[in-house]
Amino acid sequence: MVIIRTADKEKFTVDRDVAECSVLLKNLLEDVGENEEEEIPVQNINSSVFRKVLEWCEHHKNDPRPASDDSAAEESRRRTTDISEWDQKFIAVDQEMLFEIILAANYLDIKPLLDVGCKTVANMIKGKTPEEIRKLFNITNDFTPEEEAQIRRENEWAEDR
Amino acid sequence: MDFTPGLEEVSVASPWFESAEIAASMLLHAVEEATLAQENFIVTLSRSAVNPLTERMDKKQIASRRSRIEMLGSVLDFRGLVDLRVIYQRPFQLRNSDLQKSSPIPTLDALPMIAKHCPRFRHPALYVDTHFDEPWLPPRVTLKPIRFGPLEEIDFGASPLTDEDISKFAIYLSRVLPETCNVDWSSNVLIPARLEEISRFPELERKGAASAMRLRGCQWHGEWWNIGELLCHIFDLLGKSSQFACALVCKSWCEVVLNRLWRVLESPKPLVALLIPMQKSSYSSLLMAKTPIRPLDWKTFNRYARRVRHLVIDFSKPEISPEVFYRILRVNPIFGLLPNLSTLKIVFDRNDDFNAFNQSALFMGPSVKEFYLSLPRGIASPICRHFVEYVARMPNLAALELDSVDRQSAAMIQGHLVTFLSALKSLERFVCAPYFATSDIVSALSNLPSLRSIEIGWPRFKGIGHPSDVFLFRPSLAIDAFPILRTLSFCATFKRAIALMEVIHAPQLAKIMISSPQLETAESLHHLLYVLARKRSRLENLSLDAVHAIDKSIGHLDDDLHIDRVTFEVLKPLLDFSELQTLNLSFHRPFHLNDTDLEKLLMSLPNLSDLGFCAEPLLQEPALLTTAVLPIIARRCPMINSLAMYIDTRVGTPSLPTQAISFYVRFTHLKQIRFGTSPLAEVDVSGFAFYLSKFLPPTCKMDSLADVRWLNSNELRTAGHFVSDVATRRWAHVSSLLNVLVIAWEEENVHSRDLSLRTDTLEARVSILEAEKNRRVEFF
Repeated sequence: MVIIRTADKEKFTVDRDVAECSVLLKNLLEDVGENEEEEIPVQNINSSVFRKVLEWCEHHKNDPRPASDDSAAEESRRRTTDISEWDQKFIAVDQEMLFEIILAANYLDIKPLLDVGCKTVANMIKGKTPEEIRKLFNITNDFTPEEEAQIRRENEWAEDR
Repeated sequence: MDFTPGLEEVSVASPWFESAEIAASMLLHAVEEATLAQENFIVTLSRSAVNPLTERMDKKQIASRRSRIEMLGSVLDFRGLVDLRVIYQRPFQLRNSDLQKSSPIPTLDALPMIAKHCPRFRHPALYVDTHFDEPWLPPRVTLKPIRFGPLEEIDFGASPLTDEDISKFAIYLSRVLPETCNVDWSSNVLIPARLEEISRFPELERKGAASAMRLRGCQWHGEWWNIGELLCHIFDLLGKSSQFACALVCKSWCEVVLNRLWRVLESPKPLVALLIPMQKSSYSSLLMAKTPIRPLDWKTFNRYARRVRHLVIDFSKPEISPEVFYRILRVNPIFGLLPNLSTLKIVFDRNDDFNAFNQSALFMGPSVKEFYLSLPRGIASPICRHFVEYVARMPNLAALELDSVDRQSAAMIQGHLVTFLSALKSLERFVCAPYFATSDIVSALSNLPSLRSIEIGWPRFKGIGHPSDVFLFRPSLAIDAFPILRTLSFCATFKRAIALMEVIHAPQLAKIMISSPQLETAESLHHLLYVLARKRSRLENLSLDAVHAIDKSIGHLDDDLHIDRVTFEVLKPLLDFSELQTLNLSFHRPFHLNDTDLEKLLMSLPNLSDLGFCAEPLLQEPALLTTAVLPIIARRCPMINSLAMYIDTRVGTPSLPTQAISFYVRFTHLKQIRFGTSPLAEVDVSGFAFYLSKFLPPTCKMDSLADVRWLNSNELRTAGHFVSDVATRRWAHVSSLLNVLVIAWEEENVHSRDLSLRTDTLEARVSILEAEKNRRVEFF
């Protein structure tokens, strides 16, 4: 068991093997050693997001850890945008939470969770027009019509691939 | 110079350009004195200050008095130093020494380093490389950068900054710098370097001022869609058309996504279209130029050209008329249009196509590291004549892959190839089609100082050479041949392989793959294993194949070979290879080993992660290995990742194995399993799938199951096998059943865990009630 303190000062008691889904926490825990009293602060994540991340880690704690040098597996993992059923249910949250989860996964260095998040965003983008994407994520169009036309012209070869 | 105690600031200005030598000794002296006077200077040095400066000059630079200072990162150790200003006529050759970047000037990664090592700096000024390569933020730095503490102003002097990099740079800085810090871009330090830069880029002045204004106004708001590295990750999951849509969303997306979109080009067409508008002509299917090249188009072209890393030019599917390329050649006779191209793949089609060479040469340049060459049909020598020019244009090649279409004989072009290979001094990896690594080619490769690996590709991807070229395989090797070779693959008979293994020195050899072009006897297999065990017992990877590369024209299935059996005794030398991770053996007859024999073998190979155990014998004989061998393998080789074997797939009634393996061991790391040409009867299909489902990884996820790849019948056919459609269908059936069964099995596990949990609570409840009852009984 380890104690982890989030940005809003909430404390979580977590199984070591659950916490070790995160490479960041795993490295920190190695530094701390067996001293179970010591609290580990995660400064960039608040408790509501961290609770969600823990839920994911709890479910996936027995997954084989992706080997860092396994580039072929990495490749195949990246290419597909399929998400397992459990993960789909897990990630069915509002946009803000989705991005908080992605940021947290990135910070905590939990590659498979980061993948789930990014795949979800990628699936949201797929098949949409630029205008629809802007609306979806509330992004302002900062192109002038000329610039937009130029980008369109120079890249049109990719449009129907 | 004497430094009186109490001195706090030294300022020296020279009226002329100083050489690096003098500047260096001046700085060195100052630093040394500063250390001695540390009472009053706020300077502490953690490392010796003796070697912070070394000079690097070449003749040309001395002539033009443009010497450089190379400061080996020690400046970053001035922990107490409040301010350090050295103004010099050339940018310093300062490296981010901790990060070992090859870039000649500090990259932005230097900022967190400076923040860490010089926490008291208030007004640093430095010349940095502001270019962002992707992924353009190192992961951990993204959200929790080391910030500068008391920093008030940072000055980037005359550092170059392109339009593309402005926004990324601004975001990066806004995260590293404290909110109160000013960023100054247009400081008025009149040093010749700046003048020179300005004269070279007339728009720099304007750009610098504009970006300074932007930087001042920029603060990090935490919008997720501005985090480049996450965007890269997301965009990589999208197809080209979705990437195209993303490019039009906003400017910050556009920059990131265009890098992904143009990174890999399957044809030079999009590039050429930027220069010359093209249209289909009425008389040919090829695209012709519509208008001539305008000088301005080069600007657009270069904006995209720098993004291209991989390019394929396929002359067997021509799209563009050669005339278009000639127009480019006429305007731009300098070759190497793509400054960052790292991988070039050329598929040649016609043997006499000099045009093809010229066209492909346009894209060859010193940045190319990997070169894939698919040799044309027929006699390839006209193309091969240009090999020398390839070396001249791409001197830094580290990997070369040769494909051969249509059983091209290597002997025909051997002379050219040998010249080509001998000139590739930085080559690290050579991949070719089977039968292409002939004696002469391997001899030429043996002298390359950086060569790490010789590999043979699968015929399906690489084509195939002519087996007669390797039948008398006998490379002549010098005593110091293959100084750092780790991987060696070749096609040769086991007899020739034994002879080679006896003489080869290659001190670092760890992986050996040998494919024989003929059927081999058990005796020669044993002999080869024996020699390898004696000479190379520390091998990590061993593949001996006497099935997939055999050529029908050379050997026949002899009747004698039916008598020849591979028994445990034949494979006994394998017991010595304790470090083996990959073992692949292929033989024309199924191995005559039973489950116990295999277990004995595996006990001395604990690190095995990849086992191919004669999965595709040519002769369909009853297998000795039974399904009971699976739990044995799972127990003996816990790291097993990929498994291929020829087994008896009969499992009896489905209910039997459940009891037999109630405490079975599962495969935990298995990603790939196949049973080659193992016979499978229709009646056994569901039973086998059921049995198998109990051993596959417990993390029952569809994605991980998708990785469990089944024997691909095409793979066998190209290897000269024939697998009946019936068998293929049966195995496909097993595969689909398995997907369902593994999930069902996992759900059942979850349920049973739930149940046992419930039982536990129930028992606890009962025991409490029980105790309570007893207490009451006692009470009364």
